[in-house]
Amino acid sequence: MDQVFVRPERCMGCRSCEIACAVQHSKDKTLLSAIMQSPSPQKRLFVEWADGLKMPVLCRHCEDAPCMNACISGCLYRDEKGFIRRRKERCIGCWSCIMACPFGVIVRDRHKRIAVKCDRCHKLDVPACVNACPTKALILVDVDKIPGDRRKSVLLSINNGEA
Amino acid sequence: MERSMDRGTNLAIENAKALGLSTVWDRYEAQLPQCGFGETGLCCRNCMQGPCRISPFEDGPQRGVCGADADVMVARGLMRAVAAGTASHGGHAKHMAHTLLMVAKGQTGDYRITDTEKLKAVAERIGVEVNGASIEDIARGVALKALEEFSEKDSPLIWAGTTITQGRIERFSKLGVIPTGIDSVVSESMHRSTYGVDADPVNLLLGTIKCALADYASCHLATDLADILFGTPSPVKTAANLGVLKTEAVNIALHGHNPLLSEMIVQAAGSDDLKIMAREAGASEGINLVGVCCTGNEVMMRHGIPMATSSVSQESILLTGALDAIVVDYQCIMPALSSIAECLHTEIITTMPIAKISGAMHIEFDEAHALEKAREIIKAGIEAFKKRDPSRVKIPDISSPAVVGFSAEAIINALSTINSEDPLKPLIDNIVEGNIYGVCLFAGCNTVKIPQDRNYIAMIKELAKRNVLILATGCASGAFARHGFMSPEAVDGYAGEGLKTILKAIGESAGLGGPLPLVLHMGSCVDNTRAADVAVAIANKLGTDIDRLPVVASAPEPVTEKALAIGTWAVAAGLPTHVGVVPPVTGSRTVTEVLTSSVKELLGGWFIVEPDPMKAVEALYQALTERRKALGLKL
Amino acid sequence: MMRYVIVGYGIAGVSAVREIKHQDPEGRVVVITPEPLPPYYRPLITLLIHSPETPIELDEEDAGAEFFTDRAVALRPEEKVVVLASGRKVHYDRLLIATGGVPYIPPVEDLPSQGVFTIRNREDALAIGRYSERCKSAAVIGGGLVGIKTAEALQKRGLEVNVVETMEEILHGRLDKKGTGIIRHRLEEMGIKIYTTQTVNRVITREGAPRELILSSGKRIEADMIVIATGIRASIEWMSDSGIKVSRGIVVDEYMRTTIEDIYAAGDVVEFPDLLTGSSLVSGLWINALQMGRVAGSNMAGGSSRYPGALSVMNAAEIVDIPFISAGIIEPSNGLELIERQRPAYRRFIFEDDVLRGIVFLENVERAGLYINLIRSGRRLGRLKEKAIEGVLSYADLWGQDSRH
Repeated sequence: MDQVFVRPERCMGCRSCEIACAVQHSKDKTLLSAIMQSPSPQKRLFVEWADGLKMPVLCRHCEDAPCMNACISGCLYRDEKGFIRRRKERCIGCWSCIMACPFGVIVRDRHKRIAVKCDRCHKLDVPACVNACPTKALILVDVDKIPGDRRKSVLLSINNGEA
Repeated sequence: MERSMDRGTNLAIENAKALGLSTVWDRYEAQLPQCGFGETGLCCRNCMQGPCRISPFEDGPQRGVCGADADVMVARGLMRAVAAGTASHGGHAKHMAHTLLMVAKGQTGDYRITDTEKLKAVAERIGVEVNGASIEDIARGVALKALEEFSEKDSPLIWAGTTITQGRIERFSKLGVIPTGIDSVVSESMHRSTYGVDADPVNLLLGTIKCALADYASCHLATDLADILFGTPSPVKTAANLGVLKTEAVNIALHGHNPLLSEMIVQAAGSDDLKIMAREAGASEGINLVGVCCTGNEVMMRHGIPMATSSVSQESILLTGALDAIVVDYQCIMPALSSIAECLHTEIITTMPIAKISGAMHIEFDEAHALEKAREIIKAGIEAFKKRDPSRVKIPDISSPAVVGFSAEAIINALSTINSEDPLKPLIDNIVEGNIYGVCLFAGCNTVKIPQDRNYIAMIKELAKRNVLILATGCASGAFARHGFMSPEAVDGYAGEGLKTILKAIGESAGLGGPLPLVLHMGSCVDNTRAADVAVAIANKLGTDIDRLPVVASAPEPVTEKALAIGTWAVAAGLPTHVGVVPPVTGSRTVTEVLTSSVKELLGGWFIVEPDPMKAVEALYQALTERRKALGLKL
Repeated sequence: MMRYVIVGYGIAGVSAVREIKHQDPEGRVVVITPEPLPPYYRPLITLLIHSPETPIELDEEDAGAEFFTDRAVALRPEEKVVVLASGRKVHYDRLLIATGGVPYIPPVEDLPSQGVFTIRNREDALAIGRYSERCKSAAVIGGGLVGIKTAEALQKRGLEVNVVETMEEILHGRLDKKGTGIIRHRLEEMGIKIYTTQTVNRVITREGAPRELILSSGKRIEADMIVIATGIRASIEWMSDSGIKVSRGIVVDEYMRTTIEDIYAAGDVVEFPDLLTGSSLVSGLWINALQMGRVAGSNMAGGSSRYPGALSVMNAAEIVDIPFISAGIIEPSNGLELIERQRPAYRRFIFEDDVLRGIVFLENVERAGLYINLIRSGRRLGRLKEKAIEGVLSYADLWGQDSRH
């Protein structure tokens, strides 16, 4: 399964991923129309900072997803590709998922009583954020293609920006 | 992160929180993280094939669409920043020249020539006939020569050529960086950095130095003409920090850079009818003018008007709830003032046709009717006072005494009380002996990126202890004044033995009744050439050049494009120049290397980029030591 | 072949069955539940009061279990048998008790038989909705989360709604005083009448249905119907002769084992210690029941999972357009530091030195999960404490802190 990896030491904090995300979740999916759209589309990942560090923080589509476990309305589910997605019409705005997500990447829709989260651009081969990253701080890795015995070391080196 | 080292500012920030208002620090946090491409200068928007970004990593694009690599992109960006800084000082200087011409032509009754000695001295220096000419004729001659400086001539800028050492002129000529017009070099810089022109990073850097020398000329010109019109500063006692606001007065702040407007307001505030009007409005203490930023420096050093705060913390003065009006001209005025004022009674008054702020009251300044406009502005302040909500008034009871106004002339005057034949001799002797280990000019701004004043405080304590004579201009002055370093009392607390002795000797001999202050205030940020004048005088007297003197400069908390222009000419003048914020050049190894290292071979000065104040002190001290060694001075 | 019996098919039972079938696909699973299938999202039932068509079903494809629609009435561990109301005896190898809770009904004089409801099941909510069509006014007894949600739903149906609460504030224990005050104010602005520190003394009826309530203060309020929402008790009477240790709920260890071998319990029926204070708690929280069921199921099928424990206060909801999330210790006691922020929205933090112990976020609930994770882990924040309070703490900070150590 393809997984999005973050390599913070490469992040320039340019927020290109945030913009691409919002555009991808707009009606016409172009920057110009997304800017004109009202209400404006919402991003689902967040470029954050700490001392000497910038990094995009985004949904990990966790194996044992706390948001899905906490969902009391049958909105969040795992799709056939393994992504945690919403059945929008079933969201009641109880915010249990926001309470449960340890990464803080589920937010409220600014205009409707509905939770908003990353859908991994499930219709795209490569998520918009990964595509937009100019320094490959966000990369897509097919974890299944890494031999099991080397997986840990390969993933570690990816995370350290070496691969 | 801590926001400010200044208690007054921190109290104002608390007020902002209580009122639910955001300040520059909140807005900075909201910007974080800031874009690394911008931080490193690797973003170019100079054409519509862009924007282009160059990756600092090997596996990303290494050239923009046009083929510009990181070196070219960064050098172009720096050139444009210095051009913008030069345009700012140029605009300021040109404004002075136009006004001087109006005075000479008798087109304004509100301005006059205050310092005729300086007028004559400047006229003689730039080749305007003095003998037998009337003051008006001399003024006209100086003003016309000044205005000629802006367009392209077939000869070097007079205000550069006549104010620096012969050695510098030779170096600059050899490099081909002597500018022939202020506006023309700004224009040239924009031209050569546009799509498809200059693509040689070293050539671009030389062009940047040329532009910065035009900035130097602009600054010198602005200072000269300000002194001619309003008087050359001499020491005056004043105070600094938010505590200079008065609960029982109409408080009006003068903010921006140019003294043309603020001088008129100071004059108008002295008129009896306005004082009475203020009292009738309920302000028992009448009208209280306070300064902010460099307009603040201008009126502080000429009239002792107290300095309320400096640029980064400009919002804090409104947050006291006690400011009735803030009058601004141009540069470093945050558009945020009008949104803060929306929640308070303070009137924001813009005055310049090129610097309006939506939401502010605009009273357009007019040199021909300057005093009338100034009166109108004060009346608006009195009206606003009537709307002040006393329950919101929270003036921090904090202010520090300061002695300010050490123009080059004032320093020479003070020194001449020790040796009237050869005023520079005592200064030079003490440098030779090591009582003064060196001189450091502090200039520049305060930035949100560093807790306000932190670097200034840390650096002055250490440098003064090591007997380095401290000069300051611009917002550096504000920082030192706020924390009491501009008082004679600070000498005992912080100066090393040698420095203490000489500051006391000069102070007492000059009749100040005590030592000179620990920091000599040389004016606003446009006044940095005052310090250069002293260095040039010493170099000329010793028959050497500035790049051999134990003199350094530091902008420990810089913000503006003007600071980049000043820093660049300081390096060109031969000074090791510290900057405490990393400028957007690190994306290019070539540019970074040239500015911090190889420029030394060409001009003698170089940039020391160091956010850590103690490491910066070590680097500056080492530069002083090297120069003392080379001159064979005592170590 | 192992025979697993699950009593109760709320989320604890559902997740236990899922886990058992996952780990032991061959095992035989028998589910005993008095409620009709399919199972549903119980926290949603108040929505049915005004929108009975709201989809609330859990989408369980074939659970791979046998279902007995019946009620368990006794447990005989010595025979390894559960006795059902129909008289049927069901043998088990491993048993899970997941019978949840039953409504607590306070003593009220002259409570009529008609027009008085409790609210625990889907059918309860639908019945309340149907009955409300003939009513102009209603009284909800109990101002907890279910009571308030019921009041909101009844108001949406056009009734005049009164809430009677014995405590000083509504949403007691779920929010701090200031937080409940803000919500109460908004509810009252919308026309819901709230009577706190009051009980119902008696009910005046007409034709066997409620007409008026007389409160302990003497105040009379009109109410054509009454909904009792004064909380739930663990549903344990039916197995009280079994010898299993019970207190407020069934006592279990971290493997969800009861005091009798081969018998497990999970969900609202058990009591376990609070992660922070150690005091015993009976949780009504969906995610806790889900996790307990999964742990129990896993261990019943031969696994060895531990339930990490939970916070007794952990809520997320939105009432009258005010979202709120609270967790951990929400009222400071000795040695704890209280920090409040009013802007941009109300937030309260309880710290023990630099360790976060509790939060209350109103309106702006973003990143609450990040904070709750800090509460659960007891992580020392050091310099990050200030960032946490100012609401700018992000996962990047924690990542940065971790990668430095």
